[in-house]
Amino acid sequence: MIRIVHLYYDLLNLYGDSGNVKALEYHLKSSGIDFETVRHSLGDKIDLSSCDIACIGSGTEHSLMLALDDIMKYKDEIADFKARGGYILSTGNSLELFGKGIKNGKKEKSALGIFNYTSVYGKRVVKDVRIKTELVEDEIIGFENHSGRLDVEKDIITEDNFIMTYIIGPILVRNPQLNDMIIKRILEKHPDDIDKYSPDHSLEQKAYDVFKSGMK
Amino acid sequence: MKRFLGTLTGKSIFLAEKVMRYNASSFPGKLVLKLFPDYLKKVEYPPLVIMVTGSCGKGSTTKIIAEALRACGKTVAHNLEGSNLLNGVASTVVKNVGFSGKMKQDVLVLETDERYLKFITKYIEPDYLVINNLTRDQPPRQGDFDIVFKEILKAIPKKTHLIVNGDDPITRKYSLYTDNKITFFGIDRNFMSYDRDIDDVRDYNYCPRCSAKLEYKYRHYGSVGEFSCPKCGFARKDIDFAVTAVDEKTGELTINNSQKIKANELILFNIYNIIAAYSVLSLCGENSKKTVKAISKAHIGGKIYTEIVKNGRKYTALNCKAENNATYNLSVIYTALDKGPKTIVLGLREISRRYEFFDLSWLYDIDFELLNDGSIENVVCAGPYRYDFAVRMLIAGVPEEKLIILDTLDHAGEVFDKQTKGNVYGILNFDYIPPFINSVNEIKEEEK
Repeated sequence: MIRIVHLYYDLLNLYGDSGNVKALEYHLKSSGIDFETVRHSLGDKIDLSSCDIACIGSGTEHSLMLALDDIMKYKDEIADFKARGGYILSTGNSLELFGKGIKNGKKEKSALGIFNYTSVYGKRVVKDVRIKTELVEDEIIGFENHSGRLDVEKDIITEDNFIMTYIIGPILVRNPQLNDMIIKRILEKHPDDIDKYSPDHSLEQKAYDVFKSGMK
Repeated sequence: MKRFLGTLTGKSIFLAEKVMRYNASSFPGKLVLKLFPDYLKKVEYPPLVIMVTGSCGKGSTTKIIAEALRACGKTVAHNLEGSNLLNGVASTVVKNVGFSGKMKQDVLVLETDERYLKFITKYIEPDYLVINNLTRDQPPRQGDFDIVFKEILKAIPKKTHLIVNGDDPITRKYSLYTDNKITFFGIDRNFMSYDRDIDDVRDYNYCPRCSAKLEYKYRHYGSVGEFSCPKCGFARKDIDFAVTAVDEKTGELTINNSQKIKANELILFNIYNIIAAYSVLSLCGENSKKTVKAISKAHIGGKIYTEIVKNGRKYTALNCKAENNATYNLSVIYTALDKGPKTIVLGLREISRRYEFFDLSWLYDIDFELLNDGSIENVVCAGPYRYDFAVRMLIAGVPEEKLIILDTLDHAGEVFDKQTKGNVYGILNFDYIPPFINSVNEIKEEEK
């Protein structure tokens, strides 16, 4: 049984970020692989003990601060999860939760400190992204829209199996190779299910190709 | 003197544009403000000024208000749809002002862009400000709804009477942040209300005052519905102007259990526009039979939906806005009310006319899953984003064999007629409404 955890599903949900959970579910389901999605939010007891991948998405500044206060309770648990090789896909400004801190004008707050970056708020960054990464062969495409900036110049930051990006929303839908890579890696820990996995990414790939060729 | 010169300049441009048959609605205002930056401060405005702002429907609501006031014999100056930034407003003023610097109309009714409102109210203080709704809308330009909330908040003059959607925690939040006089409008439970839990599509799941999770008795769309906070009591209550009943068959709305108004389109956005307009008109003392009749008849231009019957099948074009999930979700909810076999048509040409960004994240803020009740016969995905829509529908649970993928929606009538089944719902960005309607009109009627 694959276990997906959707963190702050009803709070950090600003830019279609639930699409990532849906994309994972879709390919597991169509391959006949058993999975379970657990949704956690403010005040719930977040449990990553048998989790394969956790997804977390974008929010308004206010929502992100509510999530920050809550997620700080799980600092050790999240660090353990990372050391065990668990996956976290963090899209949009939620990656700020995993850095050292968030500076917004005179306000400064500590964050989880799993990553070494700090985010500083300023003029909003709005841009399409196409980047080459070490994760997959194809360039990763997506869109960014955020007020924070990291003190490291990178669109996607990975360490162990934690993937942090300012790209908002359904990155796993728009980048079928990335979705495929993550599912395959997760299945390595579930040997009984490996042979069942038979993904069909043809439509996603066509969407990707049309985008790369300039929308025709 | 400057006021006179400003008026003269603006009016000359209007005249020149008229002679040259050129119509740039904001240009005269732009020029006047460039030459005379304080021009708007010097004009004497009508005794009654009404402004409407929000993410969707502000143009329609403004039109309903203006037309109803005219029907009651008032003279009204009002800006054309789209001229809702400072320059457009200045153009409207210049066009309607006399050379004395006085606007002689009884009322000035302005549709105002939600982020430019602060520049407009600096010069013109509205007696009434209607805030229709705040939703996810053009995020690359606007940011999120919390940002827009704050921009509007900054723009509200102290004496302005606010008229806001009381069913929406975001607009109701103004009552927590201002001391202004405030009137709430809303819609009670009706056949379009629903109970299904779709937490992830809502803008506000948590109380804006104490951050506890909001509870709902019913929903209308997004966070809009009968909500209450179990902790601090922030809730949808004390609605001053409520649509207490909606007659599905006749389209008749009942307001506060007594007044009847006929709605030309039974879709929630339209009903919210109508009740917003009715509220402000009532507060101005205009709630006679004449007003009500005028509201029912108001010609709001861009229709939310259009129905055409061909070969015994109903084709409905639902007008949505890309990057605005609320317009799509309302269309999805509307479509889902038809439980019979149906075909969905999806597509758009350009995500935005204002900028070249390719953000598709909003497709996952639309609850297409609601349509997956076994009644879908086909889904036609057309245009540059055809595969993105196709993938969205696969993920929503529609089997691949039901998808029909077209490069364009132009001349798609035969595909609709021959390859699809059931009533056809085009849930379309506004730029794909014309090709959809043209395609339907091209379908040949079969002889009976």
